[in-house]
Amino acid sequence: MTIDLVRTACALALAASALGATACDSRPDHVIARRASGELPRTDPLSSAWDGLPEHEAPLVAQNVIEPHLTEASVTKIRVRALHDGRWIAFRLEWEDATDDHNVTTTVFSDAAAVQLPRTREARPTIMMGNDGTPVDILFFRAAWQTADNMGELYPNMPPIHHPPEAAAEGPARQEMERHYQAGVGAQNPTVVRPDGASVLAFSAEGYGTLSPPEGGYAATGRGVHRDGRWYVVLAREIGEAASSPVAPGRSVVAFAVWNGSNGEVGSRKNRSEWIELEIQGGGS
Amino acid sequence: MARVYNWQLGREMDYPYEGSRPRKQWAGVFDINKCIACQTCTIACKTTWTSGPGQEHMFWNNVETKPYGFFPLGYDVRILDALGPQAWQGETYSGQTIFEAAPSGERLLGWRPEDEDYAHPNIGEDEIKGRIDRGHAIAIPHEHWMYYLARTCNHCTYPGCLAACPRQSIYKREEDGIVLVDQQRCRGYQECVRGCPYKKVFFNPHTGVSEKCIGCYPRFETGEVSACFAACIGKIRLQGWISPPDQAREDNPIDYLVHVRKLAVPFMPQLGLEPNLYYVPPIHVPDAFLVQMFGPNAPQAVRTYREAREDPVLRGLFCLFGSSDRVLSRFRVDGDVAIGYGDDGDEVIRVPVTEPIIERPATDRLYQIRRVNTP
Repeated sequence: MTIDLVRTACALALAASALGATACDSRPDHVIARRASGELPRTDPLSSAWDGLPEHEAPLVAQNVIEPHLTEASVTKIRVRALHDGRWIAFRLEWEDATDDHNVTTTVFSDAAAVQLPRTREARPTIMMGNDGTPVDILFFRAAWQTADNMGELYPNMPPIHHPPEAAAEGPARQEMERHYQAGVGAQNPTVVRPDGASVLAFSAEGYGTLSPPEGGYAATGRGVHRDGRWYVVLAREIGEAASSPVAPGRSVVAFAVWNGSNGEVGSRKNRSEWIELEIQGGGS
Repeated sequence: MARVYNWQLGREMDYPYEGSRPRKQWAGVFDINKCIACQTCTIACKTTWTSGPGQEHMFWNNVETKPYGFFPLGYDVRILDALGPQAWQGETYSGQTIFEAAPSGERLLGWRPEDEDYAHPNIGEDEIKGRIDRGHAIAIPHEHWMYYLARTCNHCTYPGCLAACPRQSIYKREEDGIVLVDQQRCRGYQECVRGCPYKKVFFNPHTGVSEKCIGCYPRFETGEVSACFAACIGKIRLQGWISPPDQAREDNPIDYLVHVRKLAVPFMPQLGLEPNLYYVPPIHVPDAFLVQMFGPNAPQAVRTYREAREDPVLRGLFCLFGSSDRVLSRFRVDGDVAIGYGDDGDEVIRVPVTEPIIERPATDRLYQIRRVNTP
């Protein structure tokens, strides 16, 4: 009888979920990526393609192993849905954050999120961004990266300043000047020189403090939307060679991290999950 | 935490990395008593390095008026207040450094300035310590005081910025001790901005990465002094190399001033970074303030400075301040001439210690005219 009651409760919860309420019992205990029936919503976190998919809710804890710490988690749970089309996989993350922090000053950072995967399906790197010889791949979203004019938003009353690169004509001459006058551009910093102003970048790491562009690279894209006190962010990447890819159909693991910029969270000051089982289904959704 | 020796504290201290001194260490001595806050150094740096977008608020070199001038606002009093009492037993520091006072979960004791703290780089300019009441202006010594403090990155032996960076994006060059932010590795976490108590690392909101004084290394590598040193019209600055105290050379101008005569003292040594800019402290400032700002040797340094005029070597060495665009690694005073030598041992500059006085009669007998001084 008890089992029947639970089943009934779950059925009711599922019905409630369809109406927008939460129902923890109905959620899978791992992340499930179904095969998309239509186009993969790689840059649209609010696409209807995300509706009705299994949603995993992962608890987050404050990162307090590597200094500097986050002493108390500001985001305690994150909801994850996933889809793939055989070539790309996309994760749709959703979490509560009252403020949309998409500009960076010395006291407020950018809201951000990351998806961490082992380099190969069988590998089990440490949760702290992998370890020597056992790398992880990291998809990294920063709200600041999708803001067109950070300086204009931050300092709307700043008087017009003539910067030296503006003396050069548009085109290669100005680009050359910008390399000289913006050291991050000149050094080709991957977070500064982003392809087409991407808001999601592909990285790899072999331990904390080693976030770097991945060897050989893999394509990544995504987009975030802040609505009604919640972030909805899609982070997508190429699946790559199916034989070894951690995101080809089969079973692997995945982990997530979220930063609340207005809480001073940046770098290692983050809310993180543990490794979570990732099931990538081959069939249609 | 490793244990490293900080000679400015007279003891070992905690630091996140093993101690490893560079082969040579970039250093400078500023004679504060000569600075007139003309900001020529500030502008020399600004036009050379920080005229790009996102660098509007950056002054890798600045000159502030003490006690009420700061850039950014309150940078020194904030960290001194957070650190608590800073006691010395003779020349040994018995208080805590910012590394030893690190809160749980942090690498050091730090703080981040507000955006507005950078908005007024010359706040407090020319303000003196207190109000001038009747009689104050004519009393000698003056009851109220102020002084100018020219600052750049200290290219510390134990940099706070380097210790704070979780990515090891900041490094100290083996060949000259200059501390740099790797512009390719930096991810803009600003732990360095938080960690540097002198607040000489700046966040660039346009590029999203942090930047700092580079010690003009492209100049320094060719034996030229940094731009702020070269531009100083008051000739308050002398640039060179500093040795650890046990390797100090009497003919090294920086070693002589810092180690041999203890005339130039570091800025806020109690923080534990072993900064490598040294100051001839201001002569009109009360000892308590001097000790807090420049350590326990500052009052004695003032006394030595007051007598420097009677000291042939010091008198000659001060004549070499600002005398050349070349880095002076050796000097000697020969009678009434001070001579500076470059890294390769060649003579770089020769200056008279006493400028010759030429008396010109008021009447030119040859042309039978009276001379008129035209300013």
